[in-house]
Amino acid sequence: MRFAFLLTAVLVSPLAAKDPCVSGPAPGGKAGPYSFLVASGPQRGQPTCYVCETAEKAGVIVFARSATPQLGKLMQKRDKAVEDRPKGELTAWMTVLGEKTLSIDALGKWAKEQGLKVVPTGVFDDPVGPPSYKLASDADITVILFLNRKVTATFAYHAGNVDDAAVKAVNDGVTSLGKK
Amino acid sequence: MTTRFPLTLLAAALLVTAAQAQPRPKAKGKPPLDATNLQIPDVTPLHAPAMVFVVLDDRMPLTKLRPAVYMPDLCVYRYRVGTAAPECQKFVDQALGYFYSYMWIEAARSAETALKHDPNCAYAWLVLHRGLDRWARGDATAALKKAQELMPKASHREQLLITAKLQEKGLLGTATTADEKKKAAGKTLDDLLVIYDDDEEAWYAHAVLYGGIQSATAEAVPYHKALLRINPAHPGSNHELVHFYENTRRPALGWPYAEGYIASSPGVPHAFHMQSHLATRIGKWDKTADRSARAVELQREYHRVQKVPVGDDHQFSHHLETLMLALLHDGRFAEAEAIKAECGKHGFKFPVIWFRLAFGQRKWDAAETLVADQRKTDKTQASYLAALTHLDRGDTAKAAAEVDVLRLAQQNKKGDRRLEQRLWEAQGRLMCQTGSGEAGVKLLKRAVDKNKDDYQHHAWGGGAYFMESWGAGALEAGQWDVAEEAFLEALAHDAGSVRGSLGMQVLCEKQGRADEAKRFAAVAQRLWAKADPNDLAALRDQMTGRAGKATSGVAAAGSE
Repeated sequence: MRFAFLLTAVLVSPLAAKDPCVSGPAPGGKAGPYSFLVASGPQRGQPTCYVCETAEKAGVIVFARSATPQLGKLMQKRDKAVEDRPKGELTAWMTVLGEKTLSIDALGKWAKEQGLKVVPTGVFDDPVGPPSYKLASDADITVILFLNRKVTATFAYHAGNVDDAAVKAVNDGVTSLGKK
Repeated sequence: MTTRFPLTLLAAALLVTAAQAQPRPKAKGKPPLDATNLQIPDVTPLHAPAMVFVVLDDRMPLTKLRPAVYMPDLCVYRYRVGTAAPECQKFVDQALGYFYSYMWIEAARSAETALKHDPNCAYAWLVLHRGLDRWARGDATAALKKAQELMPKASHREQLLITAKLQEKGLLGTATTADEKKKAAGKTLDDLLVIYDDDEEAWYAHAVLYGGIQSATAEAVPYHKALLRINPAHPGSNHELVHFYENTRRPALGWPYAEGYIASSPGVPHAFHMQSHLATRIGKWDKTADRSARAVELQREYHRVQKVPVGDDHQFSHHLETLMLALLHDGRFAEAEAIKAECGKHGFKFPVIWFRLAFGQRKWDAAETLVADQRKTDKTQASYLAALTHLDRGDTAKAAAEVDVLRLAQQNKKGDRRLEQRLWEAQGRLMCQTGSGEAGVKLLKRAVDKNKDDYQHHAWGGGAYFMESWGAGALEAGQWDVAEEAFLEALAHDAGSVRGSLGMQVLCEKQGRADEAKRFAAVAQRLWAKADPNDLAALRDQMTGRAGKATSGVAAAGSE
């Protein structure tokens, strides 16, 4: 509760303004380990825990319930952000929720179509998501920024609500993440 | 009446056969191989007892097996061969269906049955050769030579397929080394595919020529994938790709092939079993146990229909063992007990699994009996299992005695990694229960660190095991932050870890994190949906009890 005042960016449409999208752990909470089945990147086909691999460094997790063009745009920016940093300084990845949402092969194809280079994507079989992340069922996209396993910011969007302003807000958060 | 009828039939048959029996001719060299003319054995009136045997026994001459029974729903694979006999075609298809599932005995049986319907079917002889060769019984070379003899009557495709096999086996051409033979066979198959690029047998033959089976190399993969573009339900390529992706540590990529294999072979036990090789590694437990059960169900039916003694079925014990593991993992103890009884009937022994079954149900007498049995053959393992039992029951004095045995054994077997980890686990848990929690938890973490990247350890749901022990120890020691890390790690390494879920549920409840507790409870409920609810409740109570003993963890409450 004492962290409730911290950064939680919520971008919503005018209609949804009365019903903000709340999803993911609050800033200050833990980014716990979880594995998912990787669809694109060097670990393709392997259950992988990127939280474990990121260790104390900076990380960005994007949880998604559908693979939309807006999500593609958001991920392209994450790709660029990782590329722009020295190797290993920032890790970002995308986890699609639900094995029925997209197959590994379909997601791999989607990632290729988006031109993603360094950001892996994959599927977490259970649509609820890793329980410790407290992902809302009505959140189409939840973005979690963390450093040293502590969540620094969370962004959540209902379906169709990721516009340019939303992408910019996430970008601003990522740009400052882990920078001394 | 029912018992008299066969006896009457037997007597009549004996008389008829005796009347027809001719003197046993002297052997004049090796007779030509012909499935329709061969009799086993030749008989004379002097061999009357053998005659009785022959009359009652319809075994075929080459495999010495009874003819196959046709199973229309076995496998969807069809490969049209050069025969005008529909029955021959049916059994060739059946033989291939079995062959692609490594049921070598049945591949040979069905191929020889096909030859009863058309002894001049060259491809049936080739399939018989392949079955006998893998089964390592009968004269596989003679069958291949017969296929060679019949080549002029075969289609062009079949001629090339037989030629390739002859070259591979060094029965044709000038190649002398294994590499040269493969190269010659590969060229023939290339020629075949250039002309007939839809030939499924050729694509498969090319794949296994260089890539082998079961532990196929990457060289085979493009051929298997090309074949699956022609026929997505090819049983052989789907099966091989499941093995390939399991062995190359990308199990999720094998999953579509596991599904494809089942679709291709709806009546084959092994197809329903194979998915478990991947499912247990990637957390698809909701499918594993039921499909493994289906495999065993199909296998019982297969034994009945083809009259196969269980001892002749090399896949059965592995399928039963896998099913036991899956049922245990999912808390389906009653079903596991039934499978254990079936294993006992057939003489299959899996003492550690049976111990885990007793342990999981807190049947301490049964667990102690199994430990006592183990002491006769493997004292160290017995001490490890006994230590786990005593620790679970909170009898630290007895557990300490068993840990001492493990420690002594480990001093004499420094290189035994498994023993070392077992010692750390038992000793760590003991320390957590006896006031040395900090050191105990560190020891448990050491066991985890040794295993967390071990791919082999992660097969069959073993990936979370030491993490669950680490979590249990940390709970007992009151180190709730560590327990949380351990249980989350357990879930990260096995998404089906019910102990990880329950551990988290209890921790969250203790710390007032109601929303998370509810979510973890739902996961545990889903994972053990087919278990007895009392068993799930008992496991949860056990976790609560562990957390209840500790006090220092309270400090962590509300840390968020």
